[in-house]
Amino acid sequence: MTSRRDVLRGAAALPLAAPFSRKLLLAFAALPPSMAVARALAAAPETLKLERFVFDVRFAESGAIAEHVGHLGVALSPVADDLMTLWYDDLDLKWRKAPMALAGVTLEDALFVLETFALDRGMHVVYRGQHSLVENGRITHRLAGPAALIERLRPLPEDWERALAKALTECPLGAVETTRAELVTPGAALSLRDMPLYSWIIAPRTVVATRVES
Amino acid sequence: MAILPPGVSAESFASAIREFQDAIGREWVFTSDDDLYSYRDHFSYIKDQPNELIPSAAVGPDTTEQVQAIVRTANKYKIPLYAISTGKNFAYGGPSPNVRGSVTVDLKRMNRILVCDDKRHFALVEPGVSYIDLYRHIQANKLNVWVDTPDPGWGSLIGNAMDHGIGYTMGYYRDHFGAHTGMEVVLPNGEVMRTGMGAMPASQSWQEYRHGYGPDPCGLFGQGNFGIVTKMGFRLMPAPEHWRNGLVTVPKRQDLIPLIEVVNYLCDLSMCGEPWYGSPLGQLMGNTEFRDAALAFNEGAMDRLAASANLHSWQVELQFYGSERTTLANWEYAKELVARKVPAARFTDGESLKTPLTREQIANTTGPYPTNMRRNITQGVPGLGIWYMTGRTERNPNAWNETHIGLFSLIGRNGEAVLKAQKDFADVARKLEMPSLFPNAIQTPVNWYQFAFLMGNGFGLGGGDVSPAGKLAATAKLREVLRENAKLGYGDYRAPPILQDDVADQYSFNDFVLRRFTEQLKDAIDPNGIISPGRAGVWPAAFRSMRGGMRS
Repeated sequence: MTSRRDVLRGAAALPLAAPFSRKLLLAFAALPPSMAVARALAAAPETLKLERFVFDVRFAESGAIAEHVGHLGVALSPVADDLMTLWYDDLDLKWRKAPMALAGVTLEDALFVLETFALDRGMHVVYRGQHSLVENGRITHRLAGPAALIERLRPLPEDWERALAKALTECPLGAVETTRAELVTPGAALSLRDMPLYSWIIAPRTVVATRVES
Repeated sequence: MAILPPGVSAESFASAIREFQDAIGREWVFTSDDDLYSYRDHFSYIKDQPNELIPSAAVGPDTTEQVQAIVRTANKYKIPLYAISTGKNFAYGGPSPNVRGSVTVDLKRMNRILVCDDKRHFALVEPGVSYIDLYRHIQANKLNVWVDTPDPGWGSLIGNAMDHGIGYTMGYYRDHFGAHTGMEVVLPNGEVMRTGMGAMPASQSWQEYRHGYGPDPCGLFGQGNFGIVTKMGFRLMPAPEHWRNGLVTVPKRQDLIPLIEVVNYLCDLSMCGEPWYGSPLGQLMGNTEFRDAALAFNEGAMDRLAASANLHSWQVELQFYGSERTTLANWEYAKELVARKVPAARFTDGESLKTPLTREQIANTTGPYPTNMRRNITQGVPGLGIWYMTGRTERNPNAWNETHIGLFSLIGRNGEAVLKAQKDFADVARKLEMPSLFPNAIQTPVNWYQFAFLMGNGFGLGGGDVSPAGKLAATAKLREVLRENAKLGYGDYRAPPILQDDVADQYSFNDFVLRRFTEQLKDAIDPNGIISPGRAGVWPAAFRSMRGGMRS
């Protein structure tokens, strides 16, 4: 019998009709097994197909990244203080049918809420970045995730929002090698104030197997 | 990081896992680190430490019968179980068990809303039903009832009630365990028991008369470890036709005493929903003279400085449910009563809204005054906004996320007790050299439970030291706080597993007779001690040597 580990290791190369482990989807027993894999792999066989990009409308940087991601064809979900509307009207309904891949740039609280929900539904965080304003006006970017994704960000240009937007849409699939990096960009970034922004990617565990912890 | 339940061999554990798989299906038995990641408390002060409270496995049953099978297997192999509903008990331990190596019984798949009656006003649900789920069900079916939800709506009705959680509407409904209407429980021997009228097979009133006949054991299951609750009924508030709120302020510190007296009267006559106390003087904390006065509890100086800033010392936001006329009458009556006791009180009319509320009305933040209330929650609408306290946000500039433990002490429900507790808590903080997150002299209680006040212990722990050693030191300080509070008569109502023995120690009357009594029962009902050993400080004989183990 195919084990869950087997499924994870071979996720990137799975045929669309491959067995899908129901145990990843606690509370979603009626889910058609191959749907998530199919959806994630259908459009781009080598990178994660994002179905949502969640961004905090209160920050210019997240807005700029969202604009770039939107141009790449990903549906945008603006949020601010309370994720209830996003959850109630959108994600809960979609995730009841199948897990999905999504990315975002938000404050830490939004990431916490989405990550917690995601863990219940067979998904996990596969990339996370913290973008903090440092005293001398520079921004420090602490990144963790697929090595291929992070390497694409070295060196991070001053127009880091555009580079990050592109990288977030090119997350590799499968059991990927991960790495951590700390990069610095110039720029005042006044809208960050004293609140770090978090960029992240949440993906079905069957599609990107390697979780990144905070 | 494979671990075993305490005292269980690898061979026995493997056999138990096979039996769990046979009982509920291989797909619903989880043993890998990856699978068990979501059963960790990510706020834990001992995360990644050798004593972190993590399970050895998790099982996800779908039916009561499967829960029974799990319990029987656990008995056979003497494996401790720890049941969670949705596992969202963050700040109080999340999904983590009291005993490292327990098998987590994850009840999320049991997510059926069995009954939701908007004529008799109750629901019967399984543990996996969240407040958001029930709200969605009510909305989809246009039912004429509201949900009394806690701060985050993602938790389970049963799980929250089991932990004595609370909400924000009318008093009766806010006490979620108190508002239950009977339960179905899988006992430690695997039998299924129903309480109240549920014990009568043909009864049509299980959710209407929870006492049944004879002793009612339900209290043993709240914060208890006498069984796994698989169904539970709850009273639901009928949807009111109108919602209204209003703000009362009183000028002097001592005015808090008559203010609370009046609000208690209104609450206990069921004339208003949850009152939300506060102090307008927070805006003076940047004033060194006022701050010094507040830190010294110099009431005369505080009153003088408040008056010169044209600020009142206390406020309470009141909310009313009923018709437009009755809510107005209750608000007018509240004003009349307060004015009788405190002639200098001021009143601000709030919003007056016909229900059902629109999305725009629920989200509106431009009322006549800035509200501190969980506004949508008082209107029966679940939210997720409370997680602003996770990480650095505009409403949480100090990033409390590394100090996220909920500790609230019971204090007397009158103004004198509040003023005394403010000073007592400040004295404890000074004695233990713990920086208070807010000057205690303007701290106010929460009236979550209709007939009780709780007041938070807001301490900045560890001076920002979030290293394992810093967290260990902070936890040790918290234990001292609990001991000092107990000497002053302040007991806590809830705690994460790492502090549950310490809170249980506060309840020491007559040489801990209450604990001895419950442990006698525990040993009789659960001789192998398999159901959540250690929960709320109740340790069965088989695990009793672990009492206090989290202190080392």
